[in-house]
Parts: sequence; C-alpha cells; structure tokens
Amino acid sequence: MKFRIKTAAGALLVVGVLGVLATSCSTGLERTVLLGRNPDGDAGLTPAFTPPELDGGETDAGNELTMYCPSDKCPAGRTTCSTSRFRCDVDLKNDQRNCGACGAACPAQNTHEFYECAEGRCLLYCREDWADCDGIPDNGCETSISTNDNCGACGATCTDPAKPCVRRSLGDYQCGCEVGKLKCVGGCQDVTGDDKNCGACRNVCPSTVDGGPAPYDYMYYGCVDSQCDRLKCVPYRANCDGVDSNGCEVDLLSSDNCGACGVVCPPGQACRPDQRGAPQCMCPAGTTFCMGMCVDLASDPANCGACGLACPSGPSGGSSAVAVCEFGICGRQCIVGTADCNGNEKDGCEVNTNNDPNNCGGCGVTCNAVAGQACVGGTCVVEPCPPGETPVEVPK
Amino acid sequence: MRLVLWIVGAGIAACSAAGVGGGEYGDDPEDASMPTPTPEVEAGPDVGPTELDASACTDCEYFPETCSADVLCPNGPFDANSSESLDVRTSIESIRGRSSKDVWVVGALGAIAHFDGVVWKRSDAETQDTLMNLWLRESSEVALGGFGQVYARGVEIVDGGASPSIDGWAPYSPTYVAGQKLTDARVVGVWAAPGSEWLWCAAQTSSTSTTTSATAGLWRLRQRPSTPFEGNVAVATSVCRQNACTQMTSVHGASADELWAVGIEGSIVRVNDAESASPSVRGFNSQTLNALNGVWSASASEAWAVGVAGTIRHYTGDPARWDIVSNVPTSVDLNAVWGTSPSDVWVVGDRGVVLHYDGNGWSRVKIAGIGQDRPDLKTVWSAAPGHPWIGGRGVVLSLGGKP
Repeated sequence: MKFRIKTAAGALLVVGVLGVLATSCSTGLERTVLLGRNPDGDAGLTPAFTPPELDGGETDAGNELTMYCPSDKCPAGRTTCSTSRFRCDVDLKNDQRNCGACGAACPAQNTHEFYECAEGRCLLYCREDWADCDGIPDNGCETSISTNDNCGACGATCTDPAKPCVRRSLGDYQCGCEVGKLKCVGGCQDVTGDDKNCGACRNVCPSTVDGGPAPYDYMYYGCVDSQCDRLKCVPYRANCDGVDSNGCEVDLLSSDNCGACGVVCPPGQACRPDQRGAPQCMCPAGTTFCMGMCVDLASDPANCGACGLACPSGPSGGSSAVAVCEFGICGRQCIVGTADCNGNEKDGCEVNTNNDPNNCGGCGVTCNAVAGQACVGGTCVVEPCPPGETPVEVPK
Repeated sequence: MRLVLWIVGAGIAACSAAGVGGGEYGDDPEDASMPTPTPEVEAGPDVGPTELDASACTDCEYFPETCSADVLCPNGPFDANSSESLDVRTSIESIRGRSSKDVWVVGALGAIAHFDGVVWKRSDAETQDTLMNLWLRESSEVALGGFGQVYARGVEIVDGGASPSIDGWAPYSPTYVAGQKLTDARVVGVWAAPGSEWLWCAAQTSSTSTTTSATAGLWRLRQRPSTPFEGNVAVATSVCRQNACTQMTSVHGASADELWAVGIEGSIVRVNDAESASPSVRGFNSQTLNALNGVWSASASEAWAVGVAGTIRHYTGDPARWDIVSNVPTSVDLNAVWGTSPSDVWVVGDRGVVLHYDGNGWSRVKIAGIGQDRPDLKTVWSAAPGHPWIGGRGVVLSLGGKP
C-alpha cells in the first residue's frame, strides 16, 4: 500500500522570488504586514500576511506608497539562535525553548502545572485539581483543590461533615453530591435505582423475594425509588404498556422501540447498542455501523474503506504527515508549514516550508533576492526600501 | 496618488529595529542538504484545470487529446452519460481478467464492474468496503480489502449467511487459526496461480513498524465447501521478522510453488513451496530502502519490482540480489507492474505515468482523452501482448481504447 502525500495548505500564491512588494502604509499598515511586529506591541495580533491591494487601482487620498525591498534581516519578534536550522526561524513570542530570548526555555511541565510561551513570556497553567493559591510562581500550582479546605477553588471550604468535597464530574469539585446521589466507592452514585447501592451505599438488593410471587417475564426484583424488592425490567427490556402481568414485553433493541418505548428507527436504520451499550438507531445514510459507531468509510482515517482498518499515521521516527482518508483510500497530508518535496513517503513531509529559504512556502521556491534573505511563515522577508533605493525586480 | 503596483513577490516585512532579529547571525545555519524538489510538475488531483496553464504543463507531450492505436485511452466504467458509471472519484485498485472478454475491476467503497468484451457493467456487492483485490477462480469471483470480510460470487451460501446481492455477491467471514485473525490488516496485494489452492495475500497493518512488534505480512486464504473461506499465516511472524516480510504490498509468481513478495523499506522475499503446508521464505537484497509497491514474475529467473520515487528493480537469477534499473524515465511513485513476457512489461504510477518495457528499455506511454487530469494509476493487467488494462482514480485505460 502506498500513500500519496499532499500539502494541506495547498500551493501558496507566491511561486517565484520577486524582489519587491509595494503597499500603502500610512493608514493601512495593519492590513499589510503583521507577522513581524514588535513583541512589545500589537498584543493579540495573529501572525499573518496580507498582501497589498492587487486591483491596481488608486490609493485613498493622502495615502503614501511604500516600496518594499528584499531584506537580509529578521522580522520583528523573529531571530536566529545558535540552535536554529534556518535564519530567523525562532519566534521569540511563542517558542517554548526560546521564550523572549534565545535559550530562555520555559520550565518543563510536571504533574501539577505546565507553561506556555505567549508574547515572549512563559505563562503558568495549572492542571486539573491544582491551583496557584499563594500566587508565588516559583512553587507553581502548589495547592490541591480536591480537599475540604480548597474544594474546586482556593479557599472554598466544606464545613459540613456530611457533605465532604467530592468530584461530581471531570474538574467539578463540590461539597457533597447532587440530590439523589451519595458518595460511595467510586464517587457520587445514584442510589435511587442502583441494585448495589439502593438508598444507601453498598445496600445490595436481592433479586428474589422470599415468599413473593415469581417475577413476570423479563422482570426481577431490584431497586426502584431507593427501595429494594420492587419489580423492574432486565436490561434492554421495557414495560411499555404498564401492565405487569405481561412483564417487560418490549425489546429495547428493536427498531420499533429503540432504547425507549415508541422510538421508531427511520427506514434503513437498525437499533444497535452504541459504544456505551445504549440502544441507538444506526446508521444514517452514507455511514456504516462499526464497533458501536456510525463511521464514514469514505473519509474516516480510523476506518478507511473498511471497519477497523486505519490508515498508517506516518513514517516511524516522527513525521509531519498525517493520515487522511480520501474516498475510501488512505493517503497522507502534510501539515501546514511542511511539504513533501522529494516524493518519498519514507521521510514524510521532510521540508519546513515555513522557514526553509530554498523551499519557502512551497517546494523549490527560493528566497535569494539578496544574500541572506530569510523565509518566515512561508514568505521571503522584505523591508521598506531605503531612501533613494528603487525596488528592482529579481527574475525567477 | 496613483498606486503603481510593482510585481508582488514573496514578501514579509523585516524589522529594522535594533535588538530584534538581526545581530545574532552566526554561521549560516541553513544546511546544504536540502531535499531536491521532485522535478515532476505537481499536477495531482488538487490541481484544477484553471490552475494549469500552458506554461506549467511540462508533461503535455504525454497527454495528447486524440486517441490512437499506440496511446492509452479511457475504456471503462466511467461515463458521465451512463447509469452504469462508477463515481469518478473512485480509485480502481485492482483490474484482473480471465480473457479480453471477461475483465473485472474493483476499487474504493465497494466499486465493482465487469467488462464482457462489449460493455462495462456495474456490479453491486452492497458494501461500502474498499475492495483492493480480485481473485478470479474458474467459476467464482472473490473481492477483498481486509481479512475480516470477503465478497464472493458463485460460492455456496453457508447456513445463516447473508443472502447475495442482486448481482450475486455475498459477504463471507473467513475462519482463521485461533489467534491469527488480523482484523487491523489491509490486504494490499494478492496472487493465486491458475488452479492453485491458496490465494497468497500481502498484508500491511496500520502500524508502519517493521520491528519486533510487527506481525506477519504474508497470509493465505483458500475456499472450501464446508467453511467457504479459511485463512492462516503463511509465513510465521518470527520468520517474517527475520526476513523483512512483516509489511508487504504485492505478491506474484511464475508458478504456484515459487513466488516473489515485496514490501515497504525495499523488502523482497522469495517464497518456496508456496502450496505446501510449510512454505519457506528467503530475503533478497533489493539495493533500496524505498517502499516497493508491485512485483511481477516472468519466469523463475526473471522478475520486476517497482516502488516509490521511480524505483525499478530487476531480478535476473542472482542468488541473492536484484539489479538496479537506471534511466527510468520518471521519478514519480510507481504502483504496479504486469507483463505477458520478458519483452512486454507494463508499469503504472502516480500522475498518469505509464511505462513499457520492450525487452530493451523502458519508455513512457502516452494517455489521451483525459484532459488536464493526471490520475494516480494503481493497477495493471494484460490480457495478451499489447493489450494492457490499467486502472486508477476515475479511469480505466486500454491501448487505443479498444476492448
């Protein structure tokens, strides 16, 4: 099996190295070149490059024309460090290893916290269950927020012994469980209908009742409304007519009562248990039932052309190629900023088109209008022309 | 003020402010080992007609407008005016036949079609599975893409089995030796010599690993009356780990007992005693680590293998090594090879590349009537000398478009 590698971003508009770029700047600077802005200003701007107006029309009254010439300098916020592979390939605003300056790496992540470089500063982020309550960055996220002293937040205390700090759901710590639930082994349990925790933790209901009548079809004695010894339906059955004598007469895995009384599956779909075992009408047109899910065999990389057959993720050793499924056939795409220039799937998307001046924005697109011209964000670097210097087109 | 737009090039503004950017240049960090761009024009399916101007079409000489006898032309189940047409997005993954009047194709998302010598007709197996392989038996047809389910016509329906489709196809779940079912493996290539019992399967799992964690890449399937299909590992996993046959892509033999199989990372193994209970394998030196996608054997002493980046290898009887074929007139990935004799060998690859070997050298074969499309071609089979059938994304081709 072979996998064609494609570039996700598609070919850039710029396909040659032309030496000049002209744009209006007096009022429209923010619409022209944004990537190279000073990290001390323009916070929040997304690195981007917007070409000048291409309509060849006239500028607004009062606007001046700025000519751009090829440059051998780095744009604002970019630099070249000793570990650089390409000129200007370090983004000091967002590089974890060079955050604000070459070699200024953000602290390594650990079980309580992690750091991200934003606008040239390492920002502290606490993981779930932890918080930076003392405000001292050096000790990170030092406080657990799953205790009675700090339940869900710094200083949120649980004083009622009957309502200790419990985890109601992912990341949700509260004093005591929701109404109808008790804190049992494994967390908050619904004790209103749980045969093993009926009305109280570990109160197990017997499935038969001494001296009681035998349960009707598809019924047994269990927990209902927090009380044992009540008749109820076995899993996947329901007493839709409300008459006990005919038991739980309805199969909840049938197309006429899928998961609940009266739920009818649309034509072409069948009632099947989903991944959690819950009956669902499956599958909508264009999808195929596969291990409890409805998947699109035409586009799902985990089930490409057949249930359970995944597309290989990429060459061993890491790659910027990602698996894709195109009309039932596996392939690979290069993530934005990379490309497969040699056509060999063994090394995946081997070229960094964001920074490689020999493949800037695309295979074979070179930045050589002046010596040392860098490639940043897939575009060759230019700067306003020095006074008196006329931009000169550089042939491809 | 009138804006005079200079030629706009690849540009991003540099910062001339001191302290940012410049001033830290050491030796130029750009190394000199940049990959060489592939010289082929990128004209795959991403490129629409409007993006291909005349100056960019460096391969136009291979894609004439008019069909002629020595040019490949469309002749297949893709016809926008026909209700029998397959979806043009369909990739034909395998094309095989018993004769020029009995040709089958299978492909993506359950695509099946048959040519009776006059017309192509779709055949519905009522599945969305991508079918990558065909096994044409004397009185039955089998299509498969994975080991979990195969689709067959002319095979007895077992008790409790699904009823056949309107075109006679029914799904079958092969039985395997306990613990051997490869549910996550794709059957990439198959081969069964005429009259042989076993269908040899080249298999590849979603993991690209060829290390100790990998499983065998060579399996066998056979058809039996009691349990219609049963399979097993043809070569033990431990043996395949030692002989680099864990991730295989193609298998073919000039006889039922001696086969060649190829795989990723340039693997080539020869299988002996292929019909016996205990086939043996031996690895050969392919002189490449490029993935090999197809193999075809002309005789016990001659075979061809093709792979990525224009790789072609030729076996001429050496006890341990395949020969490098130089001067291949393309650098695209080559996907399949087939022939009728040592002087009539066909190779197909990406971007509409077709090569022919006439016993002396390889030459590029033209394709007419496909406009600016450059489909990846996946499969080739030849009914007779000079009569190849070629399939790929949205096309089936024959020389002169003749049946």
